[in-house]
Amino acid sequence: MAPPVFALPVFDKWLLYAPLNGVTALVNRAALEDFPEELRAALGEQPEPEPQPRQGAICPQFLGIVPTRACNLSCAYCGFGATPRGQEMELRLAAAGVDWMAEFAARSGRRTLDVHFFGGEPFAAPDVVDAAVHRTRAAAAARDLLPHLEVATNGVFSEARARFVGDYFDIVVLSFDGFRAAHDRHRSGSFDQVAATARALSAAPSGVCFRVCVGEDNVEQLAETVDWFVEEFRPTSIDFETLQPTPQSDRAGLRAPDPYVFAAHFRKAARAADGHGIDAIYAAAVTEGLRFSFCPVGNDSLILHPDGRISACYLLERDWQARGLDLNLGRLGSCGEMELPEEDVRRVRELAASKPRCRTCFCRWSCAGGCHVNHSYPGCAARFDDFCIQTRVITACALLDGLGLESMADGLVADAAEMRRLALRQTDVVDGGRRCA
Amino acid sequence: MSWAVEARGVLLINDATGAVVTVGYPQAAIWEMLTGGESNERIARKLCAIASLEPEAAEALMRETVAAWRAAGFLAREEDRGG
Repeated sequence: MAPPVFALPVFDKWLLYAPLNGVTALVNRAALEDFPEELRAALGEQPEPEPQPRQGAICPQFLGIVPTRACNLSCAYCGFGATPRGQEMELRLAAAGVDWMAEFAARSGRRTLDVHFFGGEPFAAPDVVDAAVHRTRAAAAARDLLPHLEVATNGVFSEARARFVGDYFDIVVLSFDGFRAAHDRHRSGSFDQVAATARALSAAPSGVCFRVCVGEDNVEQLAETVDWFVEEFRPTSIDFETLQPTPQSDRAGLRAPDPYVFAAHFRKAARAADGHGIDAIYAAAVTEGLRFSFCPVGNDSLILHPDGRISACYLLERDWQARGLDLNLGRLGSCGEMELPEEDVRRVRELAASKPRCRTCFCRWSCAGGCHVNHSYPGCAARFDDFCIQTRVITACALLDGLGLESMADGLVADAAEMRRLALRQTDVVDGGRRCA
Repeated sequence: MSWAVEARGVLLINDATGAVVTVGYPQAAIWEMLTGGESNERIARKLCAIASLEPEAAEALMRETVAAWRAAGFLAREEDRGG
């Protein structure tokens, strides 16, 4: 079967995209109905294989550690149910996880030992993080590996802790929602402390990615936010994520932005970031390389929880269960005994393959369906939702940019009707006279 | 004193004498925790996990390491510095 070719209307032209062939083109309707010889030749070349579920023994890219589910903040949109106190991982369990990953990395011929920290807020259990960080560095040194440490944090901690984070982590993902009013509204009045942490990190060796939660209230400030962030803090990159509605966000009166408005303002923000020489990221619209899954699920990543469970996802177990999902992969004992039953690994890999809504969408191997728990879960609606809409528009713009058609992409996000025409199509698959549809 | 965090440990520099020492693990962890102002008890507890040591061995390692750094001039008691 020939690899799929997708086409999207952009004004009076069509954006043609064959991701497996690495072909992107802007064509007119006649060329769309009967592909010209040149296009047929390009599409006839050996395509990349379609991304497939992983096979064989588990092969994690990183170990994720959740030191605790506790958090020292109570953000208005947070559905994690985190409280200031919560179960902390035993130090020796964290060490056992690191040792397992170090052995795996060395045995697999890797150059790096990759350990990422998630929460709650990881630094609500500072001793667990300290022990795991040093154990990672010690284990890496003993095996001639380079340690690579990442952490996602709210940045509400002391100056001394900020120095530690800046010195010992390679990448820090800092939740920072922009100007004071929006940040304080979203994140428990933590602006001053987060800004102080951001300032400390800007002078440190670590790379810093600001993660901005975008709601209806701050969506129109994205470009200005980028300019201010860069002038004040020099982050390495800025990641924009739209607010995921929760009962808590509803109660706080916070709403997700209109997807078309977000797409338009993300584009302005990306242009501003580009002007400063940094990346603005909307993770679902990354078109370099093809992927099968958007997140750790299906990619064999191992997330170690405080109770010793190993799962494929760092979200709460109750949230997957509410979607009818089981993302557990196994267990790690504090003496280092790892249980990863093959059938559980296979189940999670296959689950990541089942996304009926994505089958005819041109983003199927870039967005790859987004979050398996909040977006592409079993039984989710077949029609495109707001996440799909913004992802489709932003991805189409990225493809147009790749063709050097920036002004056409600018025109697209300035025209709500054109965006709707592109975003709401039932199928993007075209045939071009190559075969029967 | 100055120090720099490196992939395999910590580089200590005695600014007065110019002496430079590379500290590997697990002693590098002790340096980070000491300079972070943590108590000996807390350092020893974490050291057990960092270096797979029993509590007594962790405390002994700490004592020996701190004594060696004092002797080399990398650490001084506050009262020794007239502080």
